[in-house]
Amino acid sequence: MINDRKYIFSWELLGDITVGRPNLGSTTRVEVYRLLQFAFRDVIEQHVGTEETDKIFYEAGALAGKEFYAHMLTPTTDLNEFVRQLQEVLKELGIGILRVERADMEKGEIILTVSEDLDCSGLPELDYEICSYDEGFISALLECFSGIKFIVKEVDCWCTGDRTCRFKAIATV
Amino acid sequence: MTQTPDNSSTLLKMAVKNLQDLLTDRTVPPEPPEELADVAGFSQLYSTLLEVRTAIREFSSGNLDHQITKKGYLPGSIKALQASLHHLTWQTKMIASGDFSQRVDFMGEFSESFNSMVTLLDESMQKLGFMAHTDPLTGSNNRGYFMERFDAELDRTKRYGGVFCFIMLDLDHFKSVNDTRGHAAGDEALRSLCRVLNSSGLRNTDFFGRIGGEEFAIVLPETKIQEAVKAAERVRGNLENTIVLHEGNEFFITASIGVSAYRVGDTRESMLNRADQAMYNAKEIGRNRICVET
Repeated sequence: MINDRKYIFSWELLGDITVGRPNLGSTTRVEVYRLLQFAFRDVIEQHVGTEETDKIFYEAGALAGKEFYAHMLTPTTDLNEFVRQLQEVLKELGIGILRVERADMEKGEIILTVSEDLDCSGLPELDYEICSYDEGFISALLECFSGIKFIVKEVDCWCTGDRTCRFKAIATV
Repeated sequence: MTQTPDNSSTLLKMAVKNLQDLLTDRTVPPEPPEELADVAGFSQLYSTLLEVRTAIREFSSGNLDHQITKKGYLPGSIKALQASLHHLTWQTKMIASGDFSQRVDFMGEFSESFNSMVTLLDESMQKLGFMAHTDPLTGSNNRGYFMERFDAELDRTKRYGGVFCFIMLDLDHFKSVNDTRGHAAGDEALRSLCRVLNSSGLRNTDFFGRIGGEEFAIVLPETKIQEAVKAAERVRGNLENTIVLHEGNEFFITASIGVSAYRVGDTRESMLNRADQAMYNAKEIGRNRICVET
């Protein structure tokens, strides 16, 4: 554990894009995002191995999800309202098309899908699911909404031939 | 087994025939002959097709939960359809629970029909809700809905403490209006009273309803009796100065009013009875006046 941290995340680090990019604006191409993500994935894997890399991406996704919830969503206790807000903002930002297949908050089980996913839709077919960042992102969103910790696992992915990414979230208590 | 060209050709034909049967036969064909396992890729293709066939059969018979374990484009596309059907199921459940904001945008022409249906359902529910809560003659809360809200205010005050007042209001000589001017004129008098109630400075948190033929009641949350009497006086004064116009004829109406304030241990009946008694006192001592509970 590092005591003297240099890269502690804060939302302010995203910067004032309107001021900083008056001509190019706030969007870039998906390839650029993927270039960054897969370059990180490659190099991190070389340093720490595959399992740790997946773990790092999951945790990074969870951190992003927590910040995203705090800055992009209006807190609510109503599941429908939460889903509606999330669907709207994910679509508006071009992150993906979220839909709920099942949601049983009493049992703590949720199945949802993300189509046209920013991370993986259109990737070549691989023999493994790749959206570990998304898993963490979704787990944090669900935790922020419900106050309950969720473990999220991607069970279907574009990379394994599925046309949509399917995530299963299970509450840990 | 060594495969000669002839043997190979026969196996290939057998493989194609088995795959074809899997696609076309009404019943699941028996296991393919063991020797076909030697044909490269056959077993994998056969098992994928068998799973796809089973999944489609299950979906078409209504079992949306059938698990597809195979990966790849074809099973993936069927899983996408399964996901869409699951989404639709979830959205339908949400609509059934009263969330009419649900819209479908992934099922082609069906989406349009589905969305129209939800819009109509939403409008119908709103109309039904309005009808269930509203007195059709005056547009005010009906007795049932008024009492529901009255009970809620009573519960709230019991739980959190505080005060609130209840006003009972009865039109004077209403029978006479009906008898001499006709029921349509009486109806207009009731509507005039509602207009007066709506324009007499009641707050957004106050509410009133028609609880009997010519009887109305008002609940004033967080209000002491002195303030309630002032509000009642505004209503009474405005009403006596309001012209009721019916078929070119003008006439005036007045009301007798009783006021009660919440006391610890009160029930709906006890508060209502005290206001009712006060209202009858107002009638007895000359009408067009306000009496407070004793």
